[in-house]
Amino acid sequence: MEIARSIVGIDTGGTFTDCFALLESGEVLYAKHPTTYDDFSKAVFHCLNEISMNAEVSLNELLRNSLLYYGTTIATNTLFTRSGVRTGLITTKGFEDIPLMMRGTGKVAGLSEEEIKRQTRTRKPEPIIPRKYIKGVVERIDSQGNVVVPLDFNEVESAVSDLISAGIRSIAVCMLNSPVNPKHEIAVGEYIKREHPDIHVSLSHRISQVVGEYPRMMATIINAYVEPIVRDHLKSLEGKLKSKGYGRDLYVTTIYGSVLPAHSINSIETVESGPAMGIVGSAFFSSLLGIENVIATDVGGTTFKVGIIHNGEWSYIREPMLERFQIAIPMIDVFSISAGGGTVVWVDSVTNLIKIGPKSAGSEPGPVCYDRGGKEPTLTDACLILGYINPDYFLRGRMKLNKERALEIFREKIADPMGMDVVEAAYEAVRIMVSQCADAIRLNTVMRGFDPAEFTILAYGGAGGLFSAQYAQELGIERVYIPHLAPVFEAMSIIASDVRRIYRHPYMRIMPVDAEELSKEFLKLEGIALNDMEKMGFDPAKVDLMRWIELRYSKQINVERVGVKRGELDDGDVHRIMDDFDRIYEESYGKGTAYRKAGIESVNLIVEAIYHVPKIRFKKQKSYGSDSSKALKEKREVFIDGDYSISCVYDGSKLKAGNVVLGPAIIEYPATTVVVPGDRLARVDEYLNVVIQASSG
Amino acid sequence: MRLASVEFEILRHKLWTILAEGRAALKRVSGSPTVAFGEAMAALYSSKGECVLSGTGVLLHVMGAPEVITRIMEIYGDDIREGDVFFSNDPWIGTAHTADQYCIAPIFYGDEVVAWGVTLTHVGDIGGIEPGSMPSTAKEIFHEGFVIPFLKIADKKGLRQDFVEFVHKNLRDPEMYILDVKAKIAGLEVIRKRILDVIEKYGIEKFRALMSELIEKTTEIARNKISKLPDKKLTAVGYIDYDGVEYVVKKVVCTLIKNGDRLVFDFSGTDEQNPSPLNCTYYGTLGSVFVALMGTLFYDTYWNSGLLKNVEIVAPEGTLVNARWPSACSQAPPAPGKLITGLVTHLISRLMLESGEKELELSASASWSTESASVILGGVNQFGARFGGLLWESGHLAGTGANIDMDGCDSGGSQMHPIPSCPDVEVYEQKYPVLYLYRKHRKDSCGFGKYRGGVGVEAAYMIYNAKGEVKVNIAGGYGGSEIISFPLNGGLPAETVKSCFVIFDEKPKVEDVFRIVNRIEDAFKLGGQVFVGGGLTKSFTLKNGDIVLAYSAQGGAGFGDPIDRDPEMVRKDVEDEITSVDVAEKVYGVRLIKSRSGFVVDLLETEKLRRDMRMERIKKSRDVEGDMECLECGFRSDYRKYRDIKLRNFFFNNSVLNESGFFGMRAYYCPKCGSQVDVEVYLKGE
Repeated sequence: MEIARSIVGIDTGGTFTDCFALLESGEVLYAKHPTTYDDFSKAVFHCLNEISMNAEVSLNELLRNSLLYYGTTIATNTLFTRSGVRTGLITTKGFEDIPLMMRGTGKVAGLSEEEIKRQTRTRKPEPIIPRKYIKGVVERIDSQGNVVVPLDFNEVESAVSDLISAGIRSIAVCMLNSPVNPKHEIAVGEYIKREHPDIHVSLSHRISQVVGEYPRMMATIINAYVEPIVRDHLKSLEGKLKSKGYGRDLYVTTIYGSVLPAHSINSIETVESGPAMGIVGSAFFSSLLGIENVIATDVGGTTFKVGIIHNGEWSYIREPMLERFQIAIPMIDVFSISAGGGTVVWVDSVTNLIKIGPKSAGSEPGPVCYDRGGKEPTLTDACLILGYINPDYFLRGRMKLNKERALEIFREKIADPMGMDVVEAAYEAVRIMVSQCADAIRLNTVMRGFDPAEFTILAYGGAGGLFSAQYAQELGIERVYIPHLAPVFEAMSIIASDVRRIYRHPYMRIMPVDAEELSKEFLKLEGIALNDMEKMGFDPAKVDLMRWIELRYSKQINVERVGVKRGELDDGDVHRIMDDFDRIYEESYGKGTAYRKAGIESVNLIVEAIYHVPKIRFKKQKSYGSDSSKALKEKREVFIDGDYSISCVYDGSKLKAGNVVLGPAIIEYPATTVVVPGDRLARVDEYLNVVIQASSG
Repeated sequence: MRLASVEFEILRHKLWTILAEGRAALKRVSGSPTVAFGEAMAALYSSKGECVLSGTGVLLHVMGAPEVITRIMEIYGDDIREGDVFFSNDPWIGTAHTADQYCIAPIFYGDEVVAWGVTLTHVGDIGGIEPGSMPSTAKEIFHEGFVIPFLKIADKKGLRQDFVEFVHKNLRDPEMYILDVKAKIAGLEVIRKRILDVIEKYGIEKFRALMSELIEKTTEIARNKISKLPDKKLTAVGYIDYDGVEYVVKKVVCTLIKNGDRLVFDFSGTDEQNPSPLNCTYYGTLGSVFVALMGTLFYDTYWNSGLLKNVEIVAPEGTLVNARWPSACSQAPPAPGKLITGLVTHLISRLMLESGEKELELSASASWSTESASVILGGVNQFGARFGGLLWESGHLAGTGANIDMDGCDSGGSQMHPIPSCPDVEVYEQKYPVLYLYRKHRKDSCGFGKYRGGVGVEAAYMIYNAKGEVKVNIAGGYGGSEIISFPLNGGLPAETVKSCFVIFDEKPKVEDVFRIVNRIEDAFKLGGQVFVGGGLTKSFTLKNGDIVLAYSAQGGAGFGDPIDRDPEMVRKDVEDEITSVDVAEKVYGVRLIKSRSGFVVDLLETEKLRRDMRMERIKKSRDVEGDMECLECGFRSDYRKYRDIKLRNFFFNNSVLNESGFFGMRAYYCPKCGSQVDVEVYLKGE
């Protein structure tokens, strides 16, 4: 197959399906269409048609010459709406209640601090598999992989038969210690495939290869639950694409920020890929601009998300939370709080304070000013009241916002009860939002031993421009980048991604280990990785491999990973790994915290296989000088920095590279608004990003 | 100066975030799984030592720290400098037992101490008469490791070497302990730095205002809440049948007196302290009372010293709830700590149910687990190294109490840990020389009721691949007769915890063991020697192949009459392996028929069964004076009907201890409709 000449990325989001195409010429095209929930592919093809039109080629030609990356939320949505298939679980006898016990944590997992305090009322989420569809079979493998009790096949047969008579369509299989020896899981899987080929089977050791049965079981259960639906959807989309001329594999985005051929991954790997891709895009963006340390923030309609890129690298969460379940699939670390454009502002009658969230007005009915029947004031309403948002220019004028209504509701529900002026009340709501965003950022930087002041903020998402200058100010952060494509940054990030997969294997040893054994184990894991990549269609010779070993101090629960060099290792290398661990540990937790005397243990070996894909090269614009007057639209009274002031309002699409805008100012774009506070200025860089920094700087 | 309301909210949120960061730093640095899984606290105190804010870490010690800070200021006076860290683990000055250890640091702004940071962890070994943190054979405090009222253990230069050397000579596992101390100090450092950032940014006056307003607001909110409860005096009694040395009945009496905006918990009438670690000092009691109140009455206000201002505790010296030095008290948090928490939860819930306020009624709860039995292992592991550890099912997988409108949570944890977390079986098998046979919900272990309590959990494992001797002991729990579980409105108490060890002369086949053993009662089917655990057990020495079985995570108590439970819910319980068919019929009066997809309720039979049960109750019971109003049928009268009902079987037939025979259980019924309105344990002969 010819090498693709263009890359097309499609992101099916909650409200819109966005599409980015990087053509061979270097040109970047973009299309958008409301997500079609009855059939996701409709919006996809709308976008592809628009792109091909703008590229002046036929759809067939576009597809024939492109590689398609597809970001879908179908797995996550299926889980959230509980519309997966009837699923069963086969596990080791005696451990049928593991997914129901949820380690105890399930009672409060995913809840806010306030909710957790109401101890007597919190409960676990509804289980995905009811107890009666969980079957235990006699078998046992120990922590070293020895078979202690052989698999009782009679029990397997009757378990499967019971599940099938109950209408189960998908079976998760999770035996204790299977990552160390998957023999029994494989046997059960083969039996089901043989006797009941139309039943989906998910084996836990293929979903996740780490020790710790609860999160592995949950990953497997959720995979089994959504798999048939995800597969059907992907197959159908692939079929349609093929019929229109697409001849390559369809790639999908993953929870750890990569793209992989659809047929080669487990459905569970596609969940929460949106936020993950945002971080990948941020890392790409930062390297483009030569910035090593970035705090990536996504201000959307319901949530505020933060991800940290340090020395150009992001980090992973080992057991991320999906809804209220912990799963053993590494996820790019993104922290989120309920604070977005649609977050409801309210007055707490117990403490008599203004509060924001966690409730959101969503997009239906949405903020009061949308005039769709929304009766609860939101942060968007507050921004409208303050004069930041132009009611006549929302979505390029396609939607008129009702400022009077917003004022009325804000007055009734917030200002009057608090005895405040309505504009002041709106301002306070925004201050609280900004402060909580700053707190979330600080929590995530300081906790890792980083100083936020050493970072640059990147703010994307629909509402990034409204608040980011202010939370940057609060953190003492010098510069904020609001990318040119902020509202669709996540979608753009998809085509900034590589093909990458993570392979892990338990390796429990006391350090220092025998260098020869360690080399052999890494080679084995690398072999599995290369094999896998080859099966996906990639030339192993072109695949980059990276190695890590996860370590902890003996008797500790928490783990850090240390990079390991490729090739043959010697004793010196092993000791270097241990020294690196001490150093990384102290960097994270503070000087003097490394206590080598406690001893170091290894936990897992990790290999990441990467196949680099050609990236976007954004065209640098030439500078037009700092004079931004041609883009000046009007002057408007806004409430900014605690007071009324007359701000200049600029048309973002008329600003050119090099232009400078002095605060206080508002820059309006079709899909977003940037607020520049009084003591800041905004500079448009050579990529048409808006960079906000101190006026004196 | 007073803060504007928005400023207050912004600063409060910052403070909360700072404490979360401190606790996170502490957990990450710590050496022990114990801490990593939740036994840690980080809180901020004012310059006077009052608690300004605590988060959702372990709750037991928040209210004890002010005393420690006050004494530190007295004793050290001028010798308190920036960078100092003080240590305290004295059960008569703040903590519940020697294993729960405070690290306390002053936060200086310029020359002045403007606040104090406090962190605390439960440590794995205290250097006591046995390995671990809660030695069961201790008779006095002198057997429970070192007791340090206050000591400066770090200064600007770091952890003091004299303390490090002291640790190395006094503990069995000094490395892990030192990591733990460093963790607490790391947490304090994060808090200190971040507080200074806030002061830099907002000014010292605003910071001071924040601290005092947090306490003021809380005091007022707490006072308002208390005022909403009816003025009343209620008493509840918790019996235990084991004093740590022998089987003798003792009681904890708690009388709740609510008057206007004040609450008093009066423990007068409580029996004399025990000659064993089953004692609470005043601080153990203080902490246990507040654990109960924080999650029920005070769930929606800030958790700080403001809560204390309108609550009084009367705890007579020399009793189980205020043991005098030098008594042992290493078991305080579970025993009698959880019993105290259960009593208070029950009493305050009764008032909340009568308050007429929907929010309060909904937050009321039957008692959660009131006993627990932590399994402590120590010896030589599969790697040939010495090890010691606590297995965490008991605290973190216990069932919670039922509410007025819903069942308790199965395997939902304990009140003192708002965020439960029990490590995976596979993780334990990597660390300890054990092979688990099962870890599962224990059927029928909850308190039955219209709304049942959550069921608890039982686990069993074999000692496996140990390269040397392994000692096991089970800490906590009582003799094993039932009944320190406090249901509400006619619900029933949960099953008492149980444990045993099976020691083999000739090891049975592993496969047979796996097939035969499904619950603790099956221990007797294996042909080995069964030692029934009860109360504190001495250490047992086990070898490879020997088995430990424990239903250590107790169920929660029930709410309301079981025969009022929706039969569909009973059906689901049976399908979920939570309730047995036997109990479904005998207790809930629900007849189930097996169907292809599980079970179906036989509605007609069920109706008949329940009707018969009601009639039988009225016929077979006696009258007793006492005002009542039946919540089911509305009948009001000055008498109730009552009869004795059976306690659950204590253990099983061949046990060493059968029913202890000390207690009886009595059910009270509405004379008109036969609804079970109350269930109470009584001491025979009283």
